[in-house]
Amino acid sequence: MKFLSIAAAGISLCFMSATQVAAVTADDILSQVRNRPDGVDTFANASLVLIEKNGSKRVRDLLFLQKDYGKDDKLTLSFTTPADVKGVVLQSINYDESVQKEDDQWMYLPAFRQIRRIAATDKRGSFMGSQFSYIDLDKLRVTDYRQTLVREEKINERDCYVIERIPSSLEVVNRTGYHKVNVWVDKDSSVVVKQVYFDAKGIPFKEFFAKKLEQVQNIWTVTHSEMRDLVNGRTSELIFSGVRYDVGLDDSLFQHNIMKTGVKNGNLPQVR
Amino acid sequence: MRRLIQFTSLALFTNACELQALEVSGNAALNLAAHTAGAEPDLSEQGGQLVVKFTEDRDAFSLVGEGRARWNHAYANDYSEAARDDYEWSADWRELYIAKDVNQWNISLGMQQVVWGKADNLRVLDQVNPLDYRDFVLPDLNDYRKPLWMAKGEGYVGDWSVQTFYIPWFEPNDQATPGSEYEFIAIDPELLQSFTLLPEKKPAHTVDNGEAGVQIARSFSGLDINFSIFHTWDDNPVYRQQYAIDASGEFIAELQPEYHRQLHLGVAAAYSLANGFVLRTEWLVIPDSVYMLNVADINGGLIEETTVNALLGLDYSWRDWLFSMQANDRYIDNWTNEFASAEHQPLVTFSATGQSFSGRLESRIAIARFTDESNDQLLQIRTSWRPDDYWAYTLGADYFSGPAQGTFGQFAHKDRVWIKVQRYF
Repeated sequence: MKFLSIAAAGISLCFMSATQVAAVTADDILSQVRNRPDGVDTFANASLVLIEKNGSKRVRDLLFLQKDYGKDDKLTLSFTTPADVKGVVLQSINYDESVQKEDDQWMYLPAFRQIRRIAATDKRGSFMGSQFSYIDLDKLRVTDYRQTLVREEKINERDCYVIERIPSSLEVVNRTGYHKVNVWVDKDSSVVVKQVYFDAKGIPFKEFFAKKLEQVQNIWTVTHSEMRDLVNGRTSELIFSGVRYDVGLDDSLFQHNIMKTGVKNGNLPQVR
Repeated sequence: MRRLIQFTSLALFTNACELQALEVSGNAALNLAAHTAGAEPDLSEQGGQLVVKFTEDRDAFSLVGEGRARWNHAYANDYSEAARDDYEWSADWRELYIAKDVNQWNISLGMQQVVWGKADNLRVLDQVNPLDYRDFVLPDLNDYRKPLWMAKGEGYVGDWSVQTFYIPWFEPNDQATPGSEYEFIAIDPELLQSFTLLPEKKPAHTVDNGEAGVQIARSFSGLDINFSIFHTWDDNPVYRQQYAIDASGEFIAELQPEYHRQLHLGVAAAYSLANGFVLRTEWLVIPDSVYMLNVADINGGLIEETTVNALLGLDYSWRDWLFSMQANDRYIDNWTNEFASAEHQPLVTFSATGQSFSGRLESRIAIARFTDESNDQLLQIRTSWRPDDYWAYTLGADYFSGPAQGTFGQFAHKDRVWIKVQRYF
């Protein structure tokens, strides 16, 4: 998973000549999104804001920890507030796309004091009650879809490629719940700045927007994003603060024991 | 007295440390439960609960505590005096410990709970902490597991996660107080009529009588596996039959409740299958389980045999729902019909837990049923509405069925519906 990196891709595309850009394919663009350099590890504080149709808000704060292990990466999300989710920890291992191996995912709920393996074949479930599904937190997988570059378009004054993605198999549909996804990729930064998700009838039901894009340690990073449910009118925002790359996060932060003991100040000497 | 020492030592400790980053959270709840099958009193619960959790996280150590105070006015008049004393007002620590990281190991000292195994609300390997059965098995397991004083270490040896602990003082399960709502029939009443029941004989609080355990765990791609060994005591007593002659020369038969050492050898695994399924299994082998016989012999009617307890579970995730099925049974080696316990105790459970309305509505239905001829069964339904991060309104129902002396059936007249209003802080 690299939620930050979905949006913050490598900058190599911006050095391409006009001819090269003309020849670029949708697969090339999305491979650039996926494979851009984004540091060996990432630390951030995050707030997940759940906004009802009437505007009422609920906020969940969490620590975001991610580290690369070769072509795989590991993620730890540790919730700190409010009281009813404090201590909930989610861990996952996302394997290199080319090995076609299913992710590993675990959840620790303090109320059960048990680390529970959860199936990764259905990622349509809501992430902590938000409009983000678990699949939306995953690193972009190029081969899950057949994609076509359909046009170029400006989003917030930024030049973007617009790519139409069709799932390559029924398994992908069952895992993601998406029958088609349109993706807007910022040309300069290779960041995904907008996505529209379609149901089986071809009707859009969810939209993603990158609301704030900034450079952190020369890495383009989406620090504020929004997911709108077009059916029920609810919106969720994911806001990152204190983002740091290459901080030297300890391996213990990505092992199971940390789910039970919790991430403490002493576990993060590099960022405190 | 021990509780007073705990609170005093905590107060002294916190004063001495000048708490810098104390985080406090918890919830206050009001509870009401009503019998629906005619049992008296009409209301079995009219009270509340306060849970306070705190964490002081420093570079050198962390202090973790969770205390709980409970009040149930139903015990003021309608149950036995002993039940009123025990349950009208009560307070306990759910955990209270100091932890420190030392060279990649987390060392903790204090009152703690250790949960082993992969089962969902069933205990096969989860035998480290005893239980308090004052509310039978109706709450979440975490709410009636008793914390124990222990020294615990968690770390890694190579790729294996290791957890080890030493418990200096054995604590058995707490059976519900006689005359309380869930007084449990642990022993055949007919047997008790012909015997004098003696006070329990508990192991002395000595170093030799402590309990110790080690669990190692590792995850491979798609597979989690744990191995454990636990040198413990049986949390439930067995009743030795003995005979004596009283002062008047009368021959008397006595039942002596006593606790026995056990060795637990366990293995648990969870494997991610295709299409959203996760398979779970747990196996516990106890080579020295002690059982009562229906006939007296030179060993006081007690016999030691190997017991195997196994569980197979299957979870299925579908969007925001988790469906879980479990089958559990035990096997007693060399069992004969002279054993007071059945050779098998086949139990199946099914549960469905899901969320909707952006996580504000959570619902759960759970069924536990013994699949022998008894058809003993417990059905629990619960739905909780959380309009915001502070309030939760929960409506639930518990339905028992089965024979009058069945595990669940004995409470068949105590079906209930209940509501709980919680304020988180």
